[in-house]
Amino acid sequence: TVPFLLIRQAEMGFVLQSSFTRSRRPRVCCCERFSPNQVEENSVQLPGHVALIPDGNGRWAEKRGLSRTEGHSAGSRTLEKVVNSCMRLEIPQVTVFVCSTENMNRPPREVSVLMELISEVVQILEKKPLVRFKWIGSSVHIPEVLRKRLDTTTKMTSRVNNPHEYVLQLTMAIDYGGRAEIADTARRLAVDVRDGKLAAEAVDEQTFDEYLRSESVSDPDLIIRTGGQKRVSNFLLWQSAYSEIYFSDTLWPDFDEEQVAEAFRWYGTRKRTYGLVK
Amino acid sequence: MLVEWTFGLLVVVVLVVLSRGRPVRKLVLAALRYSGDCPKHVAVIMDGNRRWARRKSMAFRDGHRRGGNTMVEFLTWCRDADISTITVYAFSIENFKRPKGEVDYIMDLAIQNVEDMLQPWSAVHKERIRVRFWGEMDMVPKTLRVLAAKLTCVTSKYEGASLNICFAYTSRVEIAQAIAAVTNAISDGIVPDEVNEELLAEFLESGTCRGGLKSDGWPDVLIRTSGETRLSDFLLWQSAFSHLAFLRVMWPDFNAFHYSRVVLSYRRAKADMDKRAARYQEYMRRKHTSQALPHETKEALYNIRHMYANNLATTAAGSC
Repeated sequence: TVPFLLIRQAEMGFVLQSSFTRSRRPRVCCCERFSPNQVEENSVQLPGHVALIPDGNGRWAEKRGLSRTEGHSAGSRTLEKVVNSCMRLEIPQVTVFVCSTENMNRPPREVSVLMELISEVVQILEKKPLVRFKWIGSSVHIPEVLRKRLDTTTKMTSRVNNPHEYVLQLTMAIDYGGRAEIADTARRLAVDVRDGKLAAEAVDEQTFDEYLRSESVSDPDLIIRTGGQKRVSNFLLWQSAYSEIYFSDTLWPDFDEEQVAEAFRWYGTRKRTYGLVK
Repeated sequence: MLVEWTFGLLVVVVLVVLSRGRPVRKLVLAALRYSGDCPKHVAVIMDGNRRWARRKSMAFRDGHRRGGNTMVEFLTWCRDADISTITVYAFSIENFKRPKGEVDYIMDLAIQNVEDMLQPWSAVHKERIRVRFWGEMDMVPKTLRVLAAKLTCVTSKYEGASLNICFAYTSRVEIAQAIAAVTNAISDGIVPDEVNEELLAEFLESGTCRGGLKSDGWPDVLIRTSGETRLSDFLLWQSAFSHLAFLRVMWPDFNAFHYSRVVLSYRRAKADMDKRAARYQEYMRRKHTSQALPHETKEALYNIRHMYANNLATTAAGSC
């Protein structure tokens, strides 16, 4: 038989491919693949702060004919695996976008299952050594029970200390919106100005930075978004000014260690100039 | 006779298309326009001028010059591509830390380009493009500031496309200034509890891209050329939900074919976003149907509706 040519949609335009060589492996795409010449042979630089946007649970479940909530539980297992691999590579800080304010508008059954999953994951993380837990978010739509559990976990793990100097700071963004976070920080600044603790003229980028850092996370070096969508979706808007963004077509429950390593390898090839000349 | 007439018509069409120049580009953009959705607001980070110049063994200055030409050419075909707003990242505040010679050359180049745009035969006047400058124009030489103000003024009433040039711009500084404006307004009566996203968006300098002559909306797609996958402090607030398109082509080589690839990827992303939006709307619709309400509430609502149907209080009816 003559192998016929397919026109497949790649992430930018089309690709002509023979039907026999069509690869079933989910593709990694972030502005197409880089050429081998660009891979630097010397040290692979690991990011100091990784931000994860775990997208694709619902689609993964739909593909397998499961319910969306089962997709979310598979996602929580993947989250543990990814956090473990980050700990093995000694990444100091990991932030996960668990749940956005827009997500809270989903059917209440899905939302309550999500909340239960979060509390399960948090319980597991509590027992892990070397993990310091923190959560950011507006906390308006979260049930009281979950909020109490998150606060207790934060307090319990804040005293984690390691003689070998490595501790993973894990932050979960629950009911989080980037713009809302900036607006909340602006509100705190406004309250301080009204109370006289801060001069109105002193409000500038540095002051805002300080107020933001005291409540939230620092700038991520690498943002990984799975699930094929090429968006930032209101996650860490202020902090993501100079972070490298890695997009993967894999759905989150399928995102395994090999793909995490691929993401870090890609990060090692990036030249970060912060607007200056190299 | 029909054959002759058709042939004649064809010849005329071909001549017209060829005389206007760039027929292939016109065909490609027309195909894009008529085959589906096109993004209305496009944000571009014009990166890669120096790398392009190095590849062609030219000086960096020539790379910047060609990059400026590409931007002007982009303006000529942006209406063919059905774009109503373009926001470009011309110069960042961080770029001021580059070598002085390069910064001075870029300023001179900007002055030249703005002067060219002020000429009556430029694309800005032909396509009726309204130009605005966002950023810390205080940090910029006085000549450029004066010219930019003049260009903004001259084109302020144009109702064609809209061009926002971010010069000496950093998104963090923009957001910080909006917050400073809000906190300064505390003494004028703004209550801290009122400070929320909508208020901040109004105070953003580019918050006017939501109002003004036309409501442009936040960017639909953010294009970055030269292969870097970062935002580099550009429109952080505004691009929270926009599709990010990272291209490996260098900015001086950017043309309508690259743009058509961007539009195709935008359409695929939009299909997914629309599906999500439809799911959310379906859920909200089901939430609001009266089947969910208890019986007494339904009865009360019926009575109220009945009462208001007699026009007793039409203004207060609201959504009842």
